Amino acid sequence: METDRALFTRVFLPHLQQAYRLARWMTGSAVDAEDVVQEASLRAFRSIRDCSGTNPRAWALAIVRNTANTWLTRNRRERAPGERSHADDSANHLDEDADHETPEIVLLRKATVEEVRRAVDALPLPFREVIVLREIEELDYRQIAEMAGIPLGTVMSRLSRARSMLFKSLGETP
Amino acid sequence: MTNPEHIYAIDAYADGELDPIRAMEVEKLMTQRPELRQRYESVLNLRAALRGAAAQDRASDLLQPRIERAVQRTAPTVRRWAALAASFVLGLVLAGGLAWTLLVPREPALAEAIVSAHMRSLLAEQPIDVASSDRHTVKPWLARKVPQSPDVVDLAQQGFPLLGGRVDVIDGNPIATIVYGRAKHLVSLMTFAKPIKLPVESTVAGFHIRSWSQGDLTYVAVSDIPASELATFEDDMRRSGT
Repeated sequence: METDRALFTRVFLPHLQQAYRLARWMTGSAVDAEDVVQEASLRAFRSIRDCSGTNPRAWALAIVRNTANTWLTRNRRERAPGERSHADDSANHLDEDADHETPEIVLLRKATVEEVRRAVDALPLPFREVIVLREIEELDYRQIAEMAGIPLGTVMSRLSRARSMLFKSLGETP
Repeated sequence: MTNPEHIYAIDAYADGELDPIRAMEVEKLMTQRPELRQRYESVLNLRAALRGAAAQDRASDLLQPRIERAVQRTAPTVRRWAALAASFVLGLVLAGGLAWTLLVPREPALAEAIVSAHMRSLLAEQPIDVASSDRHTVKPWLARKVPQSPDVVDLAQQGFPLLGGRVDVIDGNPIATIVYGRAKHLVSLMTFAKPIKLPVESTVAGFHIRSWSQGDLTYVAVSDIPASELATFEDDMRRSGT
Protein backbone atom coordinates (compact mmCIF):
# COMPACT_ATOMS: atom_id res chain seq x y z
CA MET A 1 0.00 0.00 0.00
CA GLU A 2 1.40 3.31 -1.10
CA THR A 3 1.45 6.07 1.50
CA ASP A 4 -0.26 9.36 0.76
CA ARG A 5 3.14 11.00 0.60
CA ALA A 6 4.43 8.46 -1.91
CA LEU A 7 1.29 8.77 -4.00
CA PHE A 8 1.56 12.55 -3.94
CA THR A 9 5.19 12.34 -4.98
CA ARG A 10 4.34 10.03 -7.84
CA VAL A 11 1.15 11.69 -9.06
CA PHE A 12 1.43 15.40 -8.36
CA LEU A 13 5.07 16.40 -8.13
CA PRO A 14 6.07 15.36 -11.68
CA HIS A 15 3.66 18.01 -12.98
CA LEU A 16 4.98 20.79 -10.80
CA GLN A 17 6.51 22.80 -13.64
CA GLN A 18 3.33 22.60 -15.67
CA ALA A 19 1.33 23.46 -12.59
CA TYR A 20 3.53 26.47 -12.07
CA ARG A 21 3.22 27.53 -15.70
CA LEU A 22 -0.58 27.34 -15.55
CA ALA A 23 -0.65 29.37 -12.34
CA ARG A 24 1.86 31.79 -13.81
CA TRP A 25 -0.32 32.55 -16.81
CA MET A 26 -3.57 32.57 -14.92
CA THR A 27 -2.33 34.96 -12.24
CA GLY A 28 0.06 36.90 -14.46
CA SER A 29 2.65 36.89 -11.69
CA ALA A 30 5.63 34.67 -10.97
CA VAL A 31 5.39 35.26 -7.22
CA ASP A 32 1.64 34.68 -7.01
CA ALA A 33 2.04 31.57 -9.14
CA GLU A 34 4.26 29.92 -6.54
CA ASP A 35 1.77 30.69 -3.78
CA VAL A 36 -1.06 29.28 -5.86
CA VAL A 37 0.93 26.13 -6.64
CA GLN A 38 1.76 25.62 -2.98
CA GLU A 39 -1.87 26.02 -2.01
CA ALA A 40 -2.89 23.68 -4.83
CA SER A 41 -0.31 21.14 -3.68
CA LEU A 42 -1.82 21.01 -0.21
CA ARG A 43 -5.29 20.62 -1.71
CA ALA A 44 -3.96 17.86 -3.94
CA PHE A 45 -2.33 16.14 -0.99
CA ARG A 46 -5.50 16.25 1.06
CA SER A 47 -7.48 14.63 -1.74
CA ILE A 48 -4.68 12.49 -3.13
CA ARG A 49 -6.81 9.35 -2.89
CA ASP A 50 -9.25 10.84 -5.42
CA CYS A 51 -6.71 10.79 -8.20
CA SER A 52 -7.12 7.14 -9.08
CA GLY A 53 -8.67 6.41 -12.42
CA THR A 54 -7.92 9.85 -13.78
CA ASN A 55 -5.16 11.24 -15.91
CA PRO A 56 -2.68 12.46 -13.26
CA ARG A 57 -1.60 15.50 -15.24
CA ALA A 58 -5.17 16.61 -15.95
CA TRP A 59 -6.05 15.93 -12.31
CA ALA A 60 -3.12 18.00 -11.06
CA LEU A 61 -3.85 20.85 -13.47
CA ALA A 62 -7.54 20.87 -12.56
CA ILE A 63 -6.62 21.47 -8.93
CA VAL A 64 -4.25 24.26 -9.88
CA ARG A 65 -6.90 25.78 -12.12
CA ASN A 66 -9.48 25.71 -9.33
CA THR A 67 -7.02 27.07 -6.79
CA ALA A 68 -5.99 29.87 -9.15
CA ASN A 69 -9.63 30.76 -9.72
CA THR A 70 -10.37 30.92 -6.02
CA TRP A 71 -7.19 32.86 -5.44
CA LEU A 72 -7.95 35.39 -8.17
CA THR A 73 -11.52 35.84 -7.07
CA ARG A 74 -10.37 36.34 -3.49
CA ASN A 75 -7.39 38.56 -4.13
CA ARG A 76 -8.47 40.52 -7.15
CA ARG A 77 -12.20 40.35 -6.99
CA GLU A 78 -12.00 38.95 -10.44
CA ARG A 79 -15.04 37.15 -11.71
CA ALA A 80 -14.75 33.39 -11.69
CA PRO A 81 -15.75 31.52 -14.79
CA GLY A 82 -18.89 29.52 -14.35
CA GLU A 83 -19.94 31.81 -11.52
CA ARG A 84 -23.56 32.65 -12.00
CA SER A 85 -24.79 36.23 -11.88
CA HIS A 86 -23.21 39.25 -13.35
CA ALA A 87 -19.96 37.52 -14.11
CA ASP A 88 -21.48 34.90 -16.36
CA ASP A 89 -23.80 37.31 -18.07
CA SER A 90 -20.84 39.38 -18.90
CA ALA A 91 -18.96 36.37 -20.25
CA ASN A 92 -21.94 35.36 -22.33
CA HIS A 93 -22.28 38.84 -23.62
CA LEU A 94 -18.68 38.75 -24.73
CA ASP A 95 -19.25 35.34 -26.28
CA GLU A 96 -22.01 36.79 -28.37
CA ASP A 97 -19.83 39.63 -29.49
CA ALA A 98 -17.79 37.11 -31.40
CA ASP A 99 -20.69 36.77 -33.80
CA HIS A 100 -20.18 40.32 -34.93
CA GLU A 101 -16.46 40.06 -35.36
CA THR A 102 -15.14 41.18 -38.64
CA PRO A 103 -12.95 38.50 -40.14
CA GLU A 104 -9.47 38.67 -38.75
CA ILE A 105 -7.28 39.91 -41.52
CA VAL A 106 -4.54 40.01 -38.99
CA LEU A 107 -0.90 39.19 -39.04
CA LEU A 108 0.78 38.84 -35.72
CA ARG A 109 3.75 41.04 -35.66
CA LYS A 110 6.70 39.86 -33.69
CA ALA A 111 5.50 40.44 -30.15
CA THR A 112 7.88 40.39 -27.22
CA VAL A 113 7.35 37.98 -24.35
CA GLU A 114 6.29 40.88 -22.14
CA GLU A 115 3.72 42.02 -24.68
CA VAL A 116 2.33 38.51 -24.95
CA ARG A 117 2.08 38.26 -21.16
CA ARG A 118 0.36 41.60 -20.85
CA ALA A 119 -2.11 40.77 -23.61
CA VAL A 120 -3.05 37.48 -21.95
CA ASP A 121 -3.25 39.11 -18.54
CA ALA A 122 -5.66 41.70 -19.91
CA LEU A 123 -8.16 39.02 -20.93
CA PRO A 124 -11.09 38.47 -18.61
CA LEU A 125 -10.49 35.31 -16.55
CA PRO A 126 -13.01 33.05 -18.37
CA PHE A 127 -11.21 33.73 -21.64
CA ARG A 128 -7.73 33.75 -20.20
CA GLU A 129 -8.09 30.32 -18.68
CA VAL A 130 -9.36 28.61 -21.83
CA ILE A 131 -6.61 30.02 -24.02
CA VAL A 132 -3.95 29.10 -21.46
CA LEU A 133 -5.32 25.58 -20.99
CA ARG A 134 -5.48 25.06 -24.75
CA GLU A 135 -2.36 26.72 -26.06
CA ILE A 136 0.06 26.50 -23.18
CA GLU A 137 -1.02 23.36 -21.36
CA GLU A 138 -2.18 21.78 -24.65
CA LEU A 139 -5.35 20.27 -23.26
CA ASP A 140 -8.13 19.29 -25.65
CA TYR A 141 -11.63 20.76 -25.68
CA ARG A 142 -13.13 17.91 -23.70
CA GLN A 143 -10.54 18.21 -20.93
CA ILE A 144 -11.03 21.97 -20.78
CA ALA A 145 -14.80 21.58 -20.66
CA GLU A 146 -14.53 19.16 -17.74
CA MET A 147 -12.01 21.26 -15.91
CA ALA A 148 -13.86 24.54 -16.27
CA GLY A 149 -17.27 22.92 -15.87
CA ILE A 150 -18.62 24.43 -19.09
CA PRO A 151 -20.13 22.84 -22.22
CA LEU A 152 -17.95 22.10 -25.24
CA GLY A 153 -19.71 24.80 -27.23
CA THR A 154 -18.74 27.38 -24.62
CA VAL A 155 -15.14 26.19 -24.73
CA MET A 156 -15.15 26.78 -28.49
CA SER A 157 -16.76 30.18 -28.36
CA ARG A 158 -14.57 31.41 -25.50
CA LEU A 159 -11.47 30.14 -27.18
CA SER A 160 -12.32 31.83 -30.47
CA ARG A 161 -13.20 35.00 -28.68
CA ALA A 162 -9.98 34.92 -26.66
CA ARG A 163 -8.00 34.53 -29.86
CA SER A 164 -9.81 37.39 -31.53
CA MET A 165 -9.07 39.61 -28.54
CA LEU A 166 -5.41 38.65 -28.60
CA PHE A 167 -5.21 39.33 -32.31
CA LYS A 168 -6.51 42.78 -31.60
CA SER A 169 -4.00 43.55 -28.91
CA LEU A 170 -1.03 41.85 -30.52
CA GLY A 171 -1.77 42.02 -34.19
CA GLU A 172 -1.54 44.49 -36.94
CA THR A 173 -4.15 44.88 -39.56
CA PRO A 174 -2.35 45.21 -42.85
CA MET B 1 -18.98 39.35 -42.51
CA THR B 2 -17.61 35.97 -41.57
CA ASN B 3 -19.99 33.36 -40.30
CA PRO B 4 -18.93 32.68 -36.69
CA GLU B 5 -19.53 28.98 -37.31
CA HIS B 6 -16.74 29.18 -39.86
CA ILE B 7 -14.42 30.79 -37.35
CA TYR B 8 -15.16 28.04 -34.82
CA ALA B 9 -14.54 25.44 -37.51
CA ILE B 10 -11.18 27.01 -38.41
CA ASP B 11 -10.17 27.19 -34.75
CA ALA B 12 -11.27 23.62 -34.12
CA TYR B 13 -9.30 22.56 -37.17
CA ALA B 14 -6.22 24.36 -35.89
CA ASP B 15 -6.78 22.65 -32.53
CA GLY B 16 -6.91 19.21 -34.13
CA GLU B 17 -10.46 18.70 -32.87
CA LEU B 18 -12.11 17.76 -36.16
CA ASP B 19 -12.63 14.31 -37.55
CA PRO B 20 -10.93 13.67 -40.92
CA ILE B 21 -14.06 14.26 -43.03
CA ARG B 22 -14.84 17.56 -41.41
CA ALA B 23 -11.18 18.54 -41.58
CA MET B 24 -11.22 18.01 -45.34
CA GLU B 25 -14.27 20.25 -45.64
CA VAL B 26 -12.49 22.97 -43.70
CA GLU B 27 -9.38 22.67 -45.85
CA LYS B 28 -11.54 23.08 -48.93
CA LEU B 29 -13.30 26.06 -47.40
CA MET B 30 -9.95 27.73 -46.72
CA THR B 31 -8.93 27.49 -50.36
CA GLN B 32 -12.11 29.37 -51.29
CA ARG B 33 -12.02 31.95 -48.50
CA PRO B 34 -8.70 33.71 -47.99
CA GLU B 35 -9.88 35.40 -44.77
CA LEU B 36 -10.44 31.96 -43.25
CA ARG B 37 -6.98 30.84 -44.34
CA GLN B 38 -5.72 34.04 -42.70
CA ARG B 39 -7.50 33.23 -39.47
CA TYR B 40 -5.94 29.78 -39.47
CA GLU B 41 -2.46 31.18 -39.92
CA SER B 42 -3.05 33.78 -37.26
CA VAL B 43 -4.09 31.06 -34.84
CA LEU B 44 -0.84 29.21 -35.54
CA ASN B 45 1.18 32.39 -35.13
CA LEU B 46 -0.51 33.19 -31.87
CA ARG B 47 0.14 29.65 -30.68
CA ALA B 48 3.82 29.98 -31.49
CA ALA B 49 3.97 33.33 -29.67
CA LEU B 50 2.25 31.93 -26.57
CA ARG B 51 4.32 28.78 -26.40
CA GLY B 52 7.47 30.75 -27.08
CA ALA B 53 6.68 33.07 -24.18
CA ALA B 54 5.76 30.18 -21.90
CA ALA B 55 8.92 28.27 -22.74
CA GLN B 56 10.81 30.55 -20.38
CA ASP B 57 8.62 29.76 -17.42
CA ARG B 58 10.30 27.81 -14.71
CA ALA B 59 9.41 27.61 -11.08
CA SER B 60 12.26 28.38 -8.74
CA ASP B 61 14.25 25.39 -7.55
CA LEU B 62 13.05 26.21 -4.07
CA LEU B 63 9.40 25.59 -4.90
CA GLN B 64 9.47 21.81 -4.72
CA PRO B 65 11.30 21.60 -1.38
CA ARG B 66 8.94 24.27 -0.05
CA ILE B 67 5.94 22.20 -1.09
CA GLU B 68 7.41 19.02 0.34
CA ARG B 69 7.91 20.75 3.67
CA ALA B 70 4.39 22.14 3.62
CA VAL B 71 2.98 18.71 2.84
CA GLN B 72 5.05 17.11 5.57
CA ARG B 73 3.69 19.57 8.10
CA THR B 74 0.11 18.65 7.26
CA ALA B 75 0.76 14.92 7.14
CA PRO B 76 0.32 13.39 10.57
CA THR B 77 1.69 9.88 10.77
CA VAL B 78 -1.79 8.89 11.86
CA ARG B 79 -3.09 9.24 8.31
CA ARG B 80 -0.49 6.90 6.99
CA TRP B 81 -1.14 4.31 9.63
CA ALA B 82 -4.85 4.60 9.04
CA ALA B 83 -4.37 4.06 5.31
CA LEU B 84 -1.97 1.22 5.93
CA ALA B 85 -4.25 -0.43 8.42
CA ALA B 86 -7.26 0.04 6.16
CA SER B 87 -5.46 -1.74 3.38
CA PHE B 88 -4.57 -4.61 5.68
CA VAL B 89 -8.16 -4.86 6.75
CA LEU B 90 -9.24 -4.90 3.12
CA GLY B 91 -6.78 -7.71 2.52
CA LEU B 92 -8.23 -9.62 5.45
CA VAL B 93 -11.76 -9.03 4.26
CA LEU B 94 -10.87 -10.37 0.85
CA ALA B 95 -8.89 -13.27 2.26
CA GLY B 96 -11.02 -14.31 5.16
CA GLY B 97 -14.43 -12.96 4.35
CA LEU B 98 -14.49 -10.96 7.53
CA ALA B 99 -17.43 -8.65 7.56
CA TRP B 100 -15.77 -5.48 8.68
CA THR B 101 -17.46 -2.39 7.51
CA LEU B 102 -14.97 -0.05 5.97
CA LEU B 103 -17.43 2.52 4.80
CA VAL B 104 -17.93 4.07 8.17
CA PRO B 105 -17.91 7.84 8.35
CA ARG B 106 -14.47 9.28 9.04
CA GLU B 107 -13.75 9.48 12.73
CA PRO B 108 -11.35 11.89 14.32
CA ALA B 109 -7.73 11.12 13.65
CA LEU B 110 -7.15 10.04 17.23
CA ALA B 111 -9.76 7.28 17.08
CA GLU B 112 -8.28 6.17 13.78
CA ALA B 113 -4.82 6.07 15.27
CA ILE B 114 -6.05 4.01 18.20
CA VAL B 115 -7.79 1.51 15.96
CA SER B 116 -4.78 1.44 13.66
CA ALA B 117 -2.51 0.57 16.55
CA HIS B 118 -4.87 -2.18 17.61
CA MET B 119 -5.17 -3.55 14.07
CA ARG B 120 -1.45 -3.40 13.59
CA SER B 121 -0.99 -5.50 16.69
CA LEU B 122 -3.46 -8.06 15.33
CA LEU B 123 -1.51 -8.30 12.13
CA ALA B 124 1.88 -8.51 13.73
CA GLU B 125 3.55 -11.84 14.29
CA GLN B 126 3.33 -11.07 17.94
CA PRO B 127 0.51 -8.77 19.08
CA ILE B 128 2.19 -8.10 22.38
CA ASP B 129 5.69 -6.95 23.14
CA VAL B 130 5.70 -8.63 26.50
CA ALA B 131 3.59 -11.75 26.64
CA SER B 132 2.72 -12.57 30.18
CA SER B 133 -0.33 -13.28 32.23
CA ASP B 134 1.60 -12.10 35.26
CA ARG B 135 0.81 -8.48 36.02
CA HIS B 136 4.03 -8.25 38.00
CA THR B 137 5.90 -8.86 34.77
CA VAL B 138 3.83 -6.61 32.56
CA LYS B 139 3.79 -3.55 34.79
CA PRO B 140 7.56 -3.17 35.26
CA TRP B 141 8.09 -3.80 31.58
CA LEU B 142 5.72 -0.97 30.68
CA ALA B 143 7.22 1.24 33.36
CA ARG B 144 10.59 0.99 31.66
CA LYS B 145 9.14 1.99 28.29
CA VAL B 146 6.73 4.81 28.96
CA PRO B 147 6.68 7.76 31.33
CA GLN B 148 3.36 6.90 32.93
CA SER B 149 2.99 3.40 34.19
CA PRO B 150 -0.55 2.21 34.68
CA ASP B 151 -1.54 -0.40 37.19
CA VAL B 152 -1.99 -3.74 35.54
CA VAL B 153 -4.81 -5.96 36.69
CA ASP B 154 -5.76 -9.43 35.62
CA LEU B 155 -9.40 -9.88 34.70
CA ALA B 156 -9.22 -13.62 34.05
CA GLN B 157 -11.98 -14.19 36.60
CA GLN B 158 -14.23 -11.92 34.58
CA GLY B 159 -13.38 -13.62 31.31
CA PHE B 160 -10.70 -11.18 30.16
CA PRO B 161 -7.36 -12.92 30.85
CA LEU B 162 -4.26 -10.72 30.82
CA LEU B 163 -2.11 -11.56 27.83
CA GLY B 164 0.62 -8.95 28.06
CA GLY B 165 1.52 -5.44 27.10
CA ARG B 166 2.95 -3.39 24.30
CA VAL B 167 3.86 0.18 23.54
CA ASP B 168 1.88 2.02 20.87
CA VAL B 169 2.82 5.35 19.42
CA ILE B 170 -0.22 7.59 19.18
CA ASP B 171 0.18 11.07 17.84
CA GLY B 172 3.91 10.88 18.43
CA ASN B 173 3.65 9.79 22.07
CA PRO B 174 4.49 6.36 23.44
CA ILE B 175 1.42 4.88 25.04
CA ALA B 176 1.27 1.91 27.41
CA THR B 177 -1.16 -0.67 26.14
CA ILE B 178 -2.30 -3.68 28.12
CA VAL B 179 -3.67 -6.56 26.11
CA TYR B 180 -6.47 -8.82 27.29
CA GLY B 181 -8.05 -11.81 25.65
CA ARG B 182 -11.73 -12.50 25.17
CA ALA B 183 -12.41 -15.91 23.64
CA LYS B 184 -10.35 -15.66 20.45
CA HIS B 185 -10.40 -11.88 20.40
CA LEU B 186 -8.07 -9.28 21.80
CA VAL B 187 -8.87 -6.18 23.74
CA SER B 188 -6.28 -3.41 23.72
CA LEU B 189 -6.42 -1.14 26.72
CA MET B 190 -4.47 2.06 26.21
CA THR B 191 -3.69 4.48 28.98
CA PHE B 192 -3.24 8.18 28.43
CA ALA B 193 -1.75 10.41 31.08
CA LYS B 194 -3.28 13.47 29.48
CA PRO B 195 -7.01 13.97 28.92
CA ILE B 196 -7.96 13.14 25.34
CA LYS B 197 -10.95 13.98 23.24
CA LEU B 198 -12.88 10.86 22.44
CA PRO B 199 -16.55 10.00 22.74
CA VAL B 200 -17.46 7.46 25.41
CA GLU B 201 -18.32 4.99 22.70
CA SER B 202 -17.41 4.96 19.04
CA THR B 203 -16.76 2.61 16.17
CA VAL B 204 -14.04 2.87 13.55
CA ALA B 205 -13.67 0.38 10.72
CA GLY B 206 -15.74 -2.14 12.62
CA PHE B 207 -13.78 -1.83 15.84
CA HIS B 208 -15.47 -0.57 18.98
CA ILE B 209 -13.78 1.98 21.16
CA ARG B 210 -14.68 2.92 24.70
CA SER B 211 -13.09 5.72 26.58
CA TRP B 212 -13.30 6.60 30.26
CA SER B 213 -11.31 8.40 32.88
CA GLN B 214 -10.34 7.12 36.27
CA GLY B 215 -7.97 8.82 38.62
CA ASP B 216 -5.43 10.76 36.60
CA LEU B 217 -5.60 8.48 33.63
CA THR B 218 -7.80 8.21 30.60
CA TYR B 219 -8.42 4.66 29.41
CA VAL B 220 -9.29 3.66 25.91
CA ALA B 221 -10.34 0.10 25.14
CA VAL B 222 -10.52 -1.07 21.57
CA SER B 223 -11.62 -4.44 20.24
CA ASP B 224 -13.77 -6.20 17.71
CA ILE B 225 -15.80 -7.88 20.43
CA PRO B 226 -19.43 -6.67 20.63
CA ALA B 227 -19.87 -3.19 22.06
CA SER B 228 -21.88 -4.60 24.98
CA GLU B 229 -19.00 -6.88 25.97
CA LEU B 230 -16.61 -3.97 25.74
CA ALA B 231 -18.90 -2.07 28.11
CA THR B 232 -18.70 -5.05 30.49
CA PHE B 233 -14.93 -4.86 30.19
CA GLU B 234 -15.03 -1.23 31.26
CA ASP B 235 -17.21 -2.09 34.26
CA ASP B 236 -14.85 -4.90 35.28
CA MET B 237 -11.88 -2.58 34.95
CA ARG B 238 -13.49 0.10 37.07
CA ARG B 239 -14.50 -2.42 39.72
CA SER B 240 -11.00 -3.83 39.86
CA GLY B 241 -10.09 -0.52 41.40
CA THR B 242 -7.30 0.64 39.16
